Amino acid sequence: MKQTSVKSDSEQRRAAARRTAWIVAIVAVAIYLLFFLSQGLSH
Amino acid sequence: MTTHAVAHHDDHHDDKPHGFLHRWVFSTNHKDIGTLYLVFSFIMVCVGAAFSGVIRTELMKPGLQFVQPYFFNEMTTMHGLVMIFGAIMPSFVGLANWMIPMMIGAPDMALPRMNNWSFWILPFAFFLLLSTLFIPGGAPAGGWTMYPPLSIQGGDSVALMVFAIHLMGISSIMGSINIIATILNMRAPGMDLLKMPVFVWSWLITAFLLIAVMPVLAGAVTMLLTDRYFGTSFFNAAGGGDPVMYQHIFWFFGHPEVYIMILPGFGIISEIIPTFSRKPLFGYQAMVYALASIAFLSFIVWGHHMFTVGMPLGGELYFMYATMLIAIPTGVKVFNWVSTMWGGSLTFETPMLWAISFVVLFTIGGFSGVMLALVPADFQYQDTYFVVAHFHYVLVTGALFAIIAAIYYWWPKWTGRMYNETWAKFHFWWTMVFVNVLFFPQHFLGLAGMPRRIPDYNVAFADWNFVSTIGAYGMYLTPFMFFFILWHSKRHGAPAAARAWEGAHGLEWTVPSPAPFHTFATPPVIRDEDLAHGDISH
Repeated sequence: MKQTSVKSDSEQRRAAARRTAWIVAIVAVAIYLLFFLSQGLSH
Repeated sequence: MTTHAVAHHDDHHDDKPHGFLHRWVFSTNHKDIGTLYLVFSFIMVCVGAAFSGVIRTELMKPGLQFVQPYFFNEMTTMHGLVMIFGAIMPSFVGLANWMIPMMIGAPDMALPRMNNWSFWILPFAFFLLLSTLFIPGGAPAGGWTMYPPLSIQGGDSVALMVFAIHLMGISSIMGSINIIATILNMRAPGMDLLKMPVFVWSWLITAFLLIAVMPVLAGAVTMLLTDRYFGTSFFNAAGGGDPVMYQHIFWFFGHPEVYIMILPGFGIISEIIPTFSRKPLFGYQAMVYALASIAFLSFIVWGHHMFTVGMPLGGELYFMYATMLIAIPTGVKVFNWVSTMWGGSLTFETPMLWAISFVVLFTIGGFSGVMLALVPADFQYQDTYFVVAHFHYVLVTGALFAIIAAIYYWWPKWTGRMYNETWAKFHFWWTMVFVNVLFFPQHFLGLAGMPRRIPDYNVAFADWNFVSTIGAYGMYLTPFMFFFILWHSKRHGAPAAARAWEGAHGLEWTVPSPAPFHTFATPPVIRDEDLAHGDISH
């Protein structure tokens, strides 16, 4: 029983980690586009 | 000092993948990937040092002796790119891979397969970059800063360099995503944020810096690429563009990049000094806030790299004062390291020697940084060897010394073997002498007016250049010493205890040495005495 709860806790952590990873990745792509496009649009 | 370890049951000690391909190429294990990063960095240090060997040999005497000026410029450019992106940054990522999961009680990085990808992109990036040495037109020669229009006037190395930097950036961003997700989501119960080791904190902050600025560099070099091949004029004045804009964008990346290369070093020193002082770190929370302050300030000081481009006086004043603010949180760190040592039961094992030398020599680099922050003085120092001396004190005796200190500190945990202290101390003292012989005279050369990135110079600069090259030749022996000491330790070293250093605290010291292939498959129970910095409430 205890092992099961540890495992599900671990799975929850991994799911949360994947969410964090996606959020951070989207921020990175947004910064890239922001800098690239802002230069492009200013010309 | 209690050494009782929490009983961590590792049920899979021996299930390492068999065969080179499965163990290393398909690895998803944070320890193996950490090792890959560190081995790769060591190879890149040797490659970058070889490039600097060409530079220092040519500069040993005035006049053109061995290489043509264009090849000399290729060497300065490649030396910078290889050392920054191939040596310093990956070695810190390697240390992060090895240590962060063990320090926070996590079984591995949050995204192990992406971790594998992060690493294996790097060899291809550097294959692209180094292959430019063999293509018509040669390697990039416009400096590691790649200022247009010079940088896009060479051969097709521009495209290979830009793609290589894109790959390095993708690798860094994926690595940072992994580190952030690991630290925020995979900590063992009880490992609150303000109980984490300072090394982990330093990497959390560094990862956010990387996420914020690597896309900016990617954007800047993409614009270089389109200017070169697709007829755009982002930085071409004839087409309505602005080359100075590149400098602004580059240094908006470049200054945080400088801190990306030193903050993990601060974290390492904050682990080592308390261990060998046998005292908790003085001012743990202040150290964390100082790291965050330095990271914040890194975003608002980029203009100090370009005082001489002709910016308005108000801009110069702003960047000068903002830059000087950095001395405050950096001073907090230096004073706290000294205060940690104050009244401690100090011993001077090899990691501690490197850590203390870091504090002293990095501070010299910091002081010359404050000198460079002064606008009127910077007009004299800009593009001289004074700048070269400054950033080598920060990056060699700062970042590289911290990396070497970390390897000597955690080596017993990684391999289960101690190394020969006498040889390791000889390695330290040899490096200590020759690194100063190499870089300190460059202050004098810069103050006397010797420009950087030139293969020939006035005879007035001959003596100190000769001395500097002697220092460089002494330094070229140090990778061989380091390799031999570690090889000998791995083969013949005495077994290391779980807590290899008497004064060491932290979860990594509660697992056996060498650390099992899988650690903390079950989250550990964290007690105050296991925390790296003790009970932080006092």
